[in-house]
Amino acid sequence: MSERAEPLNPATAPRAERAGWRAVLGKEDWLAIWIGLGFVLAGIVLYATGGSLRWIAVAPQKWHDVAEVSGQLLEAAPRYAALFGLLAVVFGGGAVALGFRFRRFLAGFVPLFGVAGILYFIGQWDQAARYNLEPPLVALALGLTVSNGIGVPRWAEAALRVEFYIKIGIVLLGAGVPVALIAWAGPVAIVQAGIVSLVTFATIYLVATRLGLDRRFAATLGTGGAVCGVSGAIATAGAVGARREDTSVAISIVILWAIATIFLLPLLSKSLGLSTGVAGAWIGTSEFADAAGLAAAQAYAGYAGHVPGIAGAPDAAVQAFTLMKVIGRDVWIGIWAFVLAIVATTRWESTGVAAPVDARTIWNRFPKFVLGFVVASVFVSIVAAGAAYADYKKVVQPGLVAPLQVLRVWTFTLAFLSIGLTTRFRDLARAGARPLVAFSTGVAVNLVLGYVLSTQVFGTYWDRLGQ
Amino acid sequence: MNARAGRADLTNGRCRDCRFFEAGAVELEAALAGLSSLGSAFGSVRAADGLCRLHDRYLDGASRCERHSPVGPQRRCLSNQPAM
Repeated sequence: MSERAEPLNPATAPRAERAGWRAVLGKEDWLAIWIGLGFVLAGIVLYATGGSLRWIAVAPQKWHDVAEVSGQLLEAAPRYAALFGLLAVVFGGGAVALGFRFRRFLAGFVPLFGVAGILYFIGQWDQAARYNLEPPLVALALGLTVSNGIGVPRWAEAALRVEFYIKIGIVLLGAGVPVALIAWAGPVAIVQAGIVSLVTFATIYLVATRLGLDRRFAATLGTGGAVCGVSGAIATAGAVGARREDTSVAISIVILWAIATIFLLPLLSKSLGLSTGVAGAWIGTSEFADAAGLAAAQAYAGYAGHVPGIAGAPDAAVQAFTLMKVIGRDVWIGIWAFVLAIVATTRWESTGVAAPVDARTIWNRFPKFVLGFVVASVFVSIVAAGAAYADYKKVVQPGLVAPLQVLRVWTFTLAFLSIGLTTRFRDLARAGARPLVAFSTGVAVNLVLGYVLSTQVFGTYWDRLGQ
Repeated sequence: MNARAGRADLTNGRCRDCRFFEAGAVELEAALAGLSSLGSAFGSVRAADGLCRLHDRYLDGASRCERHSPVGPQRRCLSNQPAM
């Protein structure tokens, strides 16, 4: 405890609690819902009136030589400009609602969008798979290189909102996942994720406490590995009242392992020849953060049809990942925090602070953007309900779903680039050997158990997802 | 104070109203390196958590302690929106 702590600077003193609609509007999760569902509803309205988002949701096409790229750019220049304007205004509006200045956001968004476009084009090169140039992995590697090499200027930082983009992208992803699929695979995901989460948490917690770490620290590390990465770690840290330094170390370890597994899981899945659905489920079980997992799952989706032996539809990797990670793991963070708060206040040593034990925390900490994912799925499923399969493929898919998928890919690419650009290894808290050993043991158990459950126990479910 | 904090009969104000408590999203992201990389201080999961400079802990804003030091009314009206 710091006896000489100084009161905070008035300029950064606690703000008055936001009340009513401002609390709903100004939280990142709710903003992601409004923006994501706004795109979906706009798509549905246009589709119902004979139009489509197709014109503005422009994406690079397959190309072989640079002349084709310049041809595509010249031909679609107004569309790319309109897309940039749309995303700058909508995402910039979201940034303003979070409290950032629009001009600062725009200053960073211009180069971010430009580089995301280059990466999108690189991914469409017909030799990209041959050189492992999957846009999510290239985006991450490029971002890490810039961030840790030359550095990112402060004026660009307001646009690098990884979670904001990822949450919007997940809501958009809901438009491509039929609600029947969520109902069919959701329970399987919950069972599989439940098993892995409990075992991983127990492993990390037991090893950490055996190594002499504080129990609050052990719990923070445990939920970081078992539930939802950095979000899980901070939710538990707040619920149990972990030390600031321990919270920082837990965040750092989660990030290091999350980034390592972005590259590791697709590589292992490819070498094992897993189908897209199975690989997505494994990534969803064993990755630590939504953004990191989506990067890995989307990279693996890129192998489908390009790498011999990888079966399944490309989107199955991202869909299986999302069902497993978001439905199976993320939504339970409030319950984890609530239970651990009870344990901390009734069973663990005093910290000098009385933490509340309030069941409302389950809802307060609930990742609300998941609701947007489900609602988007319901909306598009209702629109598609009357269409026969052939009509769906011929009319609904290209007119409604595909443009939303394109917007999702753009949004995810912005996120993947932002991961690297915001990760500065030298700034991360230095982790000692004991927390690293405890967490790494949990990672090892998680990887093996996740693989067995995804391929052996529930493999047929995840395989069918990609067919 | 009782041995177990959770059982303490503390009637002081909540941490979120304390001058030692920092709950600004940008300030938290600056204080906890990496939080903005694969997480966010703007998301729902953080709820009302913040940093206590006195105890050097990351706490639920509804927590209480015996060394609570209330923020003056004029301070409570200040926004800690990002200055970016």
